[in-house]
Amino acid sequence: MQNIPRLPAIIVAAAIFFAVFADFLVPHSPIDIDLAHAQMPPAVFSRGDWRYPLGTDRLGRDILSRIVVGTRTSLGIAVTAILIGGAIGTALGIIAGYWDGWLGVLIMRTADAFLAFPSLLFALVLAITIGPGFWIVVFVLALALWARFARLIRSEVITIKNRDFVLLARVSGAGNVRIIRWHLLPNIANTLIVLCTLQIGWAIIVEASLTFLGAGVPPPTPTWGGMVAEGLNYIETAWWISVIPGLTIMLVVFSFNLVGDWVRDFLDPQLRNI
Amino acid sequence: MNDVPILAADRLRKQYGRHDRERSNVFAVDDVSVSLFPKETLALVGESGSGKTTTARMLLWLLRPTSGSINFEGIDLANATRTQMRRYRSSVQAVFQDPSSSLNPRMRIRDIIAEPLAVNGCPRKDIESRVREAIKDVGLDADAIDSFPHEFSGGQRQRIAIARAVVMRPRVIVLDEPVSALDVSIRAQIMNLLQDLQGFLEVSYLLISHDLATVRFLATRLAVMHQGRIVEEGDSETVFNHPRHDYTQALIAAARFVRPNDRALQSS
Amino acid sequence: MAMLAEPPLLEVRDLQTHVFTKRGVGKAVAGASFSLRAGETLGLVGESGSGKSLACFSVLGLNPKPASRIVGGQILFKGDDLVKKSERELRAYRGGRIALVLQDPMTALNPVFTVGNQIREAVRLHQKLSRWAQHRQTVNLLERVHIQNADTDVFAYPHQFSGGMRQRVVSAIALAGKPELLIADEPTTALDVTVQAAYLSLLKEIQAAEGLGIVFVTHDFAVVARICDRVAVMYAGKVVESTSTVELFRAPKHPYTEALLKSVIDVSHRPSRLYSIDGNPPSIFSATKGCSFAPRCIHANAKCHNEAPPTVSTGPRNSVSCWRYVS
Repeated sequence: MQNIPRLPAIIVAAAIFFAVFADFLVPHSPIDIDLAHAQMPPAVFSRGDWRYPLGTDRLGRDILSRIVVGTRTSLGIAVTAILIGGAIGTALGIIAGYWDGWLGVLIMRTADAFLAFPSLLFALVLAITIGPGFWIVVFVLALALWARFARLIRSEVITIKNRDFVLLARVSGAGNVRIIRWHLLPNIANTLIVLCTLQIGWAIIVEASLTFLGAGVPPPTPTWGGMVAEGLNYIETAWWISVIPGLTIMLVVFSFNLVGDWVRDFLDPQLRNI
Repeated sequence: MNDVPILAADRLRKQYGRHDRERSNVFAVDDVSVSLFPKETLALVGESGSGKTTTARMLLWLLRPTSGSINFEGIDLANATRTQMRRYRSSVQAVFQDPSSSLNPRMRIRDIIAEPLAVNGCPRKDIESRVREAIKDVGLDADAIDSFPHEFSGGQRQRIAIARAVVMRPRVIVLDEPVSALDVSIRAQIMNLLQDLQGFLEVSYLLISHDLATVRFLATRLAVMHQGRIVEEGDSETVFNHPRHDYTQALIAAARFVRPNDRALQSS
Repeated sequence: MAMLAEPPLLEVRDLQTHVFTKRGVGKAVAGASFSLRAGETLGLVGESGSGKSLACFSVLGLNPKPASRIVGGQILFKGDDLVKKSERELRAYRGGRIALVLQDPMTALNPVFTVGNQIREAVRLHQKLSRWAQHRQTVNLLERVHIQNADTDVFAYPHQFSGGMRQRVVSAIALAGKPELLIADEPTTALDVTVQAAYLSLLKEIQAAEGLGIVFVTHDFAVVARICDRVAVMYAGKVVESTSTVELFRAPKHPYTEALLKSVIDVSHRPSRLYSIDGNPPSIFSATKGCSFAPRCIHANAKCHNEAPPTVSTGPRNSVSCWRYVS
């Protein structure tokens, strides 16, 4: 595991850890209101208190606790959306790539349409008509994601299916199922893993944007985007309410991207030995 | 000589491009007929663009001919039943030129060699022993089967590809430039191996190559292809010693290896 | 009698280029020495892994970095040691004094530019000429490499040419800088056999006209016989035998050379069995004590396995690295 970018990897690991164990780790409840301690700055400042290391928001809720619990929501949405969108996209990509022809063309044109999808707009519309929520966001993200997976997987499949070892498998009598299962899937695994890792950052940002706009996960569930939104009115007096979650988004997305780049290089057989 | 060829191509034609295009008159393979009989090696020689690889791919039923038929044991493959198709697939195997792309980099050697057996219904309990037998047939250590392709050199990978081809004890092996991508000192090893295998497996080879010198070692019959057509065909030694067509003569002349001292003798 | 003390055009002395990977340090070129004079063609013969290509790239400082590095030896081009030159200084040599032709003409040519465009770029880099003169020079170069309709073909794209013609175009680019030395790395390997002979004749013709020195990397002895004056045989990163072509075929000295020559299959008769060398070449990562060919050598004895043989002189410009010739 050499050359893994240390700090980003630690942040990614921490994010995953918090997402799983959030409830047991937080010093305070993320949702209980405590007006007595409202708008306290981070502990390093004079009015701060080490019991609330990153300060509190306008309702007295501990920012640190909310960030930690928010990890679960953000990562949860990102991972779920990628799993769903990725699975659909991969399946359609394999179909389009393996069975070229009118079906492949149909799938790809549909994918092109979805790439131009105005996710934000659609999410807002849904939020207004059905109401915001965890699964709305997942749905919207998956709709935007599947097309990226489909395109990439399709081109990988086209390359691989013409490789000698696939042709020779056919000469041995292997059927399509066997070829897809044993020859295609293992050889697209790398691409798939890398794409997933690189999309996590994107998904987190979109979710944050949606929640910021009110089309995402509704309060009181803490989410980073929501926290930024809530703190906007106080940006001059209690800047930390927005800035800290904003910095968190930036840091976590950046870390996932760097780790994703490393994963791609790590899995690339041609770069493996250098 | 038996009457029924194991594998035969009858008036094969392969055309690329759509019918409405100007280029539809280019035939990669133009009216080619070849037959492969038991226990022989038919060599299909020619340079790049001669159509020999396209012919081989059609004989392997990886490409559909534009016209003409491929017959296995007398049956036209285009009309074969599933059972007949299965019999064809288990009797005709192949080895391709590039040992790096012939083996799935993510599969262990054991699974690579076992695949034809698994696909053709060999009972589970027999697979392991047959795989070990095949790997030993090609001169590699039995414990190689636990490794992955990238752990082997080019020559060794080609042996593994050959092991996969022989594990089913096929009637025909199509060898498409089997040694062209290998080092000179390894080529002889592999060609000798192919000769040994043919001896004890009694398999027929369809050997495709541009290298006349290596072809002469194994070939019993020779067919020379040029721009999609067969220009000369016959018993291997006869064609080599008395080539009739201009192109055959040119190919043989170009393959001739003139050592410097001989040159001095020749010019005198 | 050999030529009087004419200094070599290129003299490589004990070149060492190492490859740095996760698996460790690979001694890809482990002490290679060879030389050639102007107007001479030196064949650098070896199989994959022998280090012949990397040695050639090292001459021009084009060995892939940072994965590889020249760690020792000298590369004397008309007396100047190229190993000591900086990247900027080396650039002056590339193309203008030492040119390179590689194996695959399709990847050497840019598919989106015309052939004339690519040759003219080389002309412009190395000669101060007006645009019209550059164009005329480009057409001249195409004619020099026997491209029939140079006037019209200069506007064609690489994909419109056959393999042999593309290799000629690549050669025209190489000649645009009027180099003194041409390094050709297996330029005929990807060509059809009937096209090879014509290309080799072209090289010989150009060499005779320009007094060019050519280092010709190949694994094919037929090519060596046709075009090379001298040969250096490489194995496991070292030159194991260096001699004239005639002498090589008449009386090869190193066991590897002997074995390689015996492995060559001759089309003029049908052998009953092919001669092959047992075993595989050593990995560049393993440190061998003794001669690197010993494990596969039919003449090897205990000394061969324990101690690496020195390079001894067997003639005015010939040498071999084998204990059998150490008195």
